[in-house]
Amino acid sequence: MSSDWISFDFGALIDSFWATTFDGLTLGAIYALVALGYTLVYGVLNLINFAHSEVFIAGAFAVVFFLSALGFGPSAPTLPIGMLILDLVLAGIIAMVVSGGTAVLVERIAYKPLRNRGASRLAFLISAIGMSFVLQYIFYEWRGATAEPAVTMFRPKPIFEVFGSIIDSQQLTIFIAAVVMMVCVDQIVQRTKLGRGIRAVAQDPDTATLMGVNKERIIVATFAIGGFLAGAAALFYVMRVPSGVFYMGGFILGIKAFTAAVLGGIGNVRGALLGGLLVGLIGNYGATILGDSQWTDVVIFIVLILVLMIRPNGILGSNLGEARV
Amino acid sequence: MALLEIKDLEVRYGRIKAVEEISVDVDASEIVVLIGANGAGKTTTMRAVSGLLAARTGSITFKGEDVTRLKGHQRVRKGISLVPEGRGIFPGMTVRENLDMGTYALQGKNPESEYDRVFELFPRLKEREKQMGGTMSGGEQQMLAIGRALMANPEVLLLDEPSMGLAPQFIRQIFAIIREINAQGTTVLLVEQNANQALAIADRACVLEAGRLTKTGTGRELLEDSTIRDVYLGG
Repeated sequence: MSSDWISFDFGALIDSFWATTFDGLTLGAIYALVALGYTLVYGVLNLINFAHSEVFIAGAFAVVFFLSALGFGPSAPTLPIGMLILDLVLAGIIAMVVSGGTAVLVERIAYKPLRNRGASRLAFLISAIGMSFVLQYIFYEWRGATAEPAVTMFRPKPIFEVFGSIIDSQQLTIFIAAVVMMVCVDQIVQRTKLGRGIRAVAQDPDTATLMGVNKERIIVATFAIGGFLAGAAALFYVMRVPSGVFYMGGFILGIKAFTAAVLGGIGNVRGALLGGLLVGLIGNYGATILGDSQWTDVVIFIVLILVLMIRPNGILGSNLGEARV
Repeated sequence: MALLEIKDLEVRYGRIKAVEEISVDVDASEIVVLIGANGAGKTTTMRAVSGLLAARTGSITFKGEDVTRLKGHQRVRKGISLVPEGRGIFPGMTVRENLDMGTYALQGKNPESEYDRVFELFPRLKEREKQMGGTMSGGEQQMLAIGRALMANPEVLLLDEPSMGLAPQFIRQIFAIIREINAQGTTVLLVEQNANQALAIADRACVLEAGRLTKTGTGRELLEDSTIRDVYLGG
């Protein structure tokens, strides 16, 4: 038996600390967008929507199909910057519509009938897992097991240097766009009438009804918002991992995003952002120290288990009800 | 015609009948009180009237309109507001945000006069405007719950055990305020275990026992009824 299947190289992390950090934050921003979908739905329904990972990958398929149709391929296209931005914005909108639609469809098919019957929480959980598998294997039957051909959107260009490490255009695009979106969602939840409805249903569904909140409409809107964010995440995911779109791709990313949601405090909107960034960083640091990106998931899930043992409510705590979100 | 007519109401939880053959008429600007022991069906009746529970049979008519099939969120727009048992304060919202939620059903109307009315009835809510609902005392939460229900400017205010778990001075205050709200023109349907004080402010009252109405009369009649004194008023 080989004895060097695992080795710790802290020197590697020290050497590439800032590059690892910037890349971890980029990945973390994508996790955070997906984590928001888990957290919002958990807030209003106390349900982990395990099919959310497939909501995300549906958007990623849409991005790949759309950009392929426009002639994008493995090597970066030579387009004027304005055209490129237009194409990417359109791809993002299409992904958001596809993911949002899938999310609402999942709600209508897998959860609403159970709600109407007053089913137990276990029934919802099983339905969630079942829906995840159903969608996964629909993608499998349709597209097979291999990943879709890569679509490269643009070649990352160095933008500026921080602590001797380059931050490139791709990292900057993803991070800024994702954070702007999350701030928007936070403001929607805090300040709009829809947001008040979401918070009210999360904190006390019966009393929300007594205030005139249409709970069913709030639930659909919540799934749609989670889906839109997953669609946006899908665009950035394809940008960062051009050949990562296949039937299991959602599952792999989704479970990390779920970890992020739990780490930050499930049901807590700001917790999802914090958790996402932390999961991105921890995974990247772990993989660098252990010398192989395959370790990323191991490190992340060890963290998940530790969090659940030590602080089950997550860093920012609890749910939409108790935490003030 | 009564403002609110409950007719032959039956509600079940699964196969268990919680209430049956409940008929109560509430006239405009009355205070009607339902008294009864734990489990008699008081809360079930209130939840059915406000639309949180579906009636199995029977009907609920409000201002001549059959609202039996309307959902809860639609009934508040018609003018029926319930202050639920346990108060239902949104714990992660401030006092002001809780009051704002009370205006959720008002579409496009400016609720400034409602804020003034509520702060006049409950000056303490004005002082505590920025405090989190979940950190308030029981009495303050009850004031907030009533104030919040008034924000929707209801025609009939349903109150489910507003005195539950409160200190005596708060209970007196709450009953005084219910009278005041009624004097301002809001019809009140009140459910109480605290029969003495409830009957004292009631125009009319009904007794619920094991899911059925067993007695009705004016508040004074029931206060003087010997069997009711024995069972509900501590002899």
